[in-house]
Amino acid sequence: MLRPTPEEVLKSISYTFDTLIRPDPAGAMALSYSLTVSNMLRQLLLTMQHEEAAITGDTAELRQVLDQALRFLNTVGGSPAMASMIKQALDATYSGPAPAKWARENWRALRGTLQKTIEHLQGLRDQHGKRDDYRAARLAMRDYLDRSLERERILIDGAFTLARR
Amino acid sequence: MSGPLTLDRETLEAYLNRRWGSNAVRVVELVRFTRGVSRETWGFEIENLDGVDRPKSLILRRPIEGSVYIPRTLRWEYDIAALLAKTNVPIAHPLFYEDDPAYAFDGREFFIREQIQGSWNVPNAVDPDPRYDAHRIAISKEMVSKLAMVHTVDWKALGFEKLVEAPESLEDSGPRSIRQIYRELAEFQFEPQPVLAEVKEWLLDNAPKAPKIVLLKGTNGMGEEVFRDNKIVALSDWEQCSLGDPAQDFARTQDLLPHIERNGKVIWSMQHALDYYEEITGTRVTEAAVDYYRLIGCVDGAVYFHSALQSVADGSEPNIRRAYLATELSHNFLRKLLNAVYGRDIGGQAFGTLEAKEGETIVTADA
Repeated sequence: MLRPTPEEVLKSISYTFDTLIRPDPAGAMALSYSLTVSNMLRQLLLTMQHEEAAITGDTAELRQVLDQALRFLNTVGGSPAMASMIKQALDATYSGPAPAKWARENWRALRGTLQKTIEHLQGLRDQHGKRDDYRAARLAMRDYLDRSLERERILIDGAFTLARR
Repeated sequence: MSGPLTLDRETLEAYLNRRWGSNAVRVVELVRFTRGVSRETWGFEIENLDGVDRPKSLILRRPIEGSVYIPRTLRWEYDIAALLAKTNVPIAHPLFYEDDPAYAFDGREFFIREQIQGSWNVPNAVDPDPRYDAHRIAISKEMVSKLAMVHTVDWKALGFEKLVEAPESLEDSGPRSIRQIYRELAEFQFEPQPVLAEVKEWLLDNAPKAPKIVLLKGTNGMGEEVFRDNKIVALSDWEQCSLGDPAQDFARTQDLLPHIERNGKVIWSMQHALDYYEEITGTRVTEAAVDYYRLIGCVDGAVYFHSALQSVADGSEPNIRRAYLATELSHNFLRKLLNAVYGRDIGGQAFGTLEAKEGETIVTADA
């Protein structure tokens, strides 16, 4: 869901055809790269079919776990910068004009905030590791990552059916 | 970096004759190898016209256009090879490094080394047919014995510490690897990596103590070495050379440490390989440590694939293979890492750092 984007995959296919396949289409290198291109074309199709729904579902979960982490930080205090960053990410609203692009960028920003929140909470383990709300916030983030990878699998399974190179 | 993707025979021949004297050599064949995404590798044959005794089969290595896949420089790779050339470890000896912009063909530095005759492929080495069991075990022992040779190099005396960071203690082997990988990630990261952030804590908490600190080859096994007559005649691809726990090299052996079971009896396995290694070196390596370093390898891979994606994202070299690495393989590595934190892949030994309180069961996503 993250990278490469569909546009990047298409650019890669175009570049690979022009520079590595077309000059000697029957050569060993062209045949090897043709396999990779074939697999990635299927991956691109799956992405076009399923990514929007995956990002929508993922974003909703991301917001929940970040909100839970924010409530924990507000309860224990002492992390105003981190709390402010999470609040800002959660407060972002649609600012057009391309809804799909905005949704992707918003999702990406939330993921970036999640990474920083995980790192921040890891740094608080010695201090708050025994607290139930600390443990619950950490587990919620971990379980989100687990389900997010399952969503991503929809874009992977079924694509890579040939030798990869 | 920009410029033509191809290197032609005439250009290379002209360069070599500038370096070695006019009409010193003739380049008779030049082939770009299709395997490998970290470097551009060319094999070529020369005829020595001036009577000087030079190797006739040579390799030219240079960075792939765009971002570097493995964030270690070509110069570093050459310097490692130059140190290894002083040992009894079989490698292709480096000849010289070219970093003069006036000579580097399209702005890219390169080095030239000898080419060892042989193949990366060993026929039937991965064939599960019982006819090949003895053959596969012999190849596996060959790989283990060569790793043992690397691991017994006197790295302190040779000065490897100047090129690779040594762990501070036996306990620091895993943490040192983690520090290095995450430091490299921080240098180029351009997309969020929350899974890598999550698993770092678990990896630090569960690092095993190394039996000793040795020179490590890095990725090894099928596809990484040169074989001839079922023997390894050159250990290649030292881009992930480091210092640490010998278990780390067993974790990065590709295909050549098979599990072979016949009539209910295991006749070869990772444990057999580790026992054989202990016979040769006197050093005991545990399977648990190998499992741990497989996870470190997953972090390594995910970080390198993120690095490989840079040239796709910035358009400098949007090679489809780089896009592929960041897709399926990266996903698989992250999946395996998170599974480990949940205790799914490692016998339920660990639920990371969030241990249950007495009498309590933590309910997780896989419960």
